[in-house]
Amino acid sequence: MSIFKSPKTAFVTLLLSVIIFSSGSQERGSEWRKNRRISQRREIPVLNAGQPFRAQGPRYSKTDILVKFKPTVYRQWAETAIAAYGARTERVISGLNIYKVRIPGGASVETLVRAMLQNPNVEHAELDYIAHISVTPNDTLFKLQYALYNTGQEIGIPGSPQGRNRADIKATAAWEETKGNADTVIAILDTGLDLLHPDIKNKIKSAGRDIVNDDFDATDDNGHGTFVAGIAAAETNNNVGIAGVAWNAKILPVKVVDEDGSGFYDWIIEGIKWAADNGADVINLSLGGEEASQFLLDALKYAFDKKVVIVASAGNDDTGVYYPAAYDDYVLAVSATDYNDARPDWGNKGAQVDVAAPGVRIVSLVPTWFFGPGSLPYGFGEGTSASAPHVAGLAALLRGIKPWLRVSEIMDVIRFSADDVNSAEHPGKDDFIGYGRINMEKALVPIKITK
Amino acid sequence: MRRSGIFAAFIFAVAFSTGPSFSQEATSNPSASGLSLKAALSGEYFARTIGWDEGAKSETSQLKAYLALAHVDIQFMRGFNVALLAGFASSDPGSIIYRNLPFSIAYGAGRVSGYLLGAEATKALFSFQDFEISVFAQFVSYKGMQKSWKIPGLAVDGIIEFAPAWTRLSLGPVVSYRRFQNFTPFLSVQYNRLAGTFEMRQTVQTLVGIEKKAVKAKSPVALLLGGAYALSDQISLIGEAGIMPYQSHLDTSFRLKAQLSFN
Repeated sequence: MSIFKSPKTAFVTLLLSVIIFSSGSQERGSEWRKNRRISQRREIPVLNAGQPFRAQGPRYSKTDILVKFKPTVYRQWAETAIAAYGARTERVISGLNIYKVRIPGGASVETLVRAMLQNPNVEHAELDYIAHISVTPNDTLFKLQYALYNTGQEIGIPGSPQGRNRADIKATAAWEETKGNADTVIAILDTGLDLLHPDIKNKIKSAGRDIVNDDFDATDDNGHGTFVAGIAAAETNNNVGIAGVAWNAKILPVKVVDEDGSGFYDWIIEGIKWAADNGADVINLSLGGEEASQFLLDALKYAFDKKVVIVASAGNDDTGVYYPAAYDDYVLAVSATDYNDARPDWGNKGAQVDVAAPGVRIVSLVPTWFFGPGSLPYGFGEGTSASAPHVAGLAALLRGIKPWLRVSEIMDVIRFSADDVNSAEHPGKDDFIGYGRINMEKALVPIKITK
Repeated sequence: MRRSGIFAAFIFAVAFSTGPSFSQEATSNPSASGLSLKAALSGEYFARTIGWDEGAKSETSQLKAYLALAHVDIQFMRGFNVALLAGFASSDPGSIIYRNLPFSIAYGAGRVSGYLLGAEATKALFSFQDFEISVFAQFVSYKGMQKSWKIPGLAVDGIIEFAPAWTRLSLGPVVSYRRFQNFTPFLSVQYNRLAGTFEMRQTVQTLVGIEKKAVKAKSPVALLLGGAYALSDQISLIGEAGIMPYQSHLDTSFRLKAQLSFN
């Protein structure tokens, strides 16, 4: 779970945080140190000799599997069949009829999956894989949002990296055409959301759903979800903090990742279905796992068929595109660019990458508790997790201004309006940034046809 | 454009080659039937404010058009003329924004050539001293030839095709002053309705969209002032200028017509 992509980034970020938050107060500095538990935990990749972050921890649950019975099998029969294996039903993802099954003590999940697949009443069974988040924040201010409008400014304190003029997603020009629609809902399936954050609390559709803890309060206990949500739709033009890509869209938080930044696929599957059933127009998944999953695919199809645009981050490990982003038919897979429109070398690649969006030194919200009392609840972060919500915000603006477009058409508008910023090396669609870095102006503003 | 020119030349040739045969027939006993034939060529320019609904809002642009028409004018009886019109026109709809396409398009690419067909009729009603009161009606239909452009700046190839079409109906009394021998000034107030459909079709790989704008001229009334000058018994020139007020604008039109009589 990386926040920092390199020791240099970590150092600059740390320095920036100390300068801004201290403001001459030693007490505030000590408070920040006292409250940086998550920050310390997220500096792990820095200890990894500055190498790109790679997902840590188990790839799948060692105690649970996912099973789907054939449609002709009633629930009672299914549970009886599960019990016959010495296992028990943990939960059922209704609508998709996927059973999360706790295996008996002493058994292995692999063995039970194989056994289940032999059962003629079982349509499919698989391991309950684990997806991981890939970004977290640390600092502030709107003028630092080069991703939205890049003037070639220094992105942070003097001496910080300086962007290239107009290496951005052309948000300001697009906002001339539309600032979005309050009826458009972006579901952020992540670690939750700081529901009291001053720069987003008025944009929240509801307290959402916490699949992890099985309640209806998707409060963020990690920070990642708040960061991602802020990029997509922080409250804008309110004289506070940052601007969200989709000014007027609402946020629906769905907690499918735990406080450590990991989430079982079944949480994600259930979260996708819940979001689709509860008014989401766009789903952002700034998370991913290495494993394919038929059930995850089913959930994505379910949401797609309910006219939900699904956006997911490709991943930050310089490997193949993670799931769910790799499900090309239903998901826009988003890779990263930086403040020079260059691709960072840690971005995952593959034919499934559709587009890219800025994902390096992105400023967004952090929970108010993140850096402790007296600190600004904003921070820098990077990774494709930061890229995806830029695209989700654009999808929400498109949904708002052109509600008649089909999901596949919205996806194509986003793809085809992208700027092929690496055309010198890879003309046309490529495995690194797909069609290119998104361009909100071309996607939303009328294209001039002149003599 | 070249096709339009050929078409116009064809109309011109037909008008003048068919003229004499009709005129021979007409002149065989003109006083009995009143039947006569005239051929004419006219050129016209107009600039009209057009409007269309864009959701809850109303948008406007200015349609500028150049018309070249061949007229075959048959007089069935004295004071009653009917003419068939054909020709071509070049229409520039100004700036029109199409937002109901996958990619919104702001059209500003200028003129589109097209064909014109129409008819007109004039009926003299009565005379009072040197004034003659008649009624004039004209209907013209323009269909633009589909024109396409590549959509700039996209990651993939895409085109738009633009096909404008409009019709115009003019109807109203004409007051002519016939005191002069070779020159007849006239004044007319006309109901002048111009309406059309400007269709934009977009194709960007899998994305296909069609949007039609139902446009209508904002001003339905035209005030026309003109004069007909007889160069000889057979040839006359007619000039006409018009204004069409719309709010604080004045839409304008100008027309010049050369007419050849065959009896």
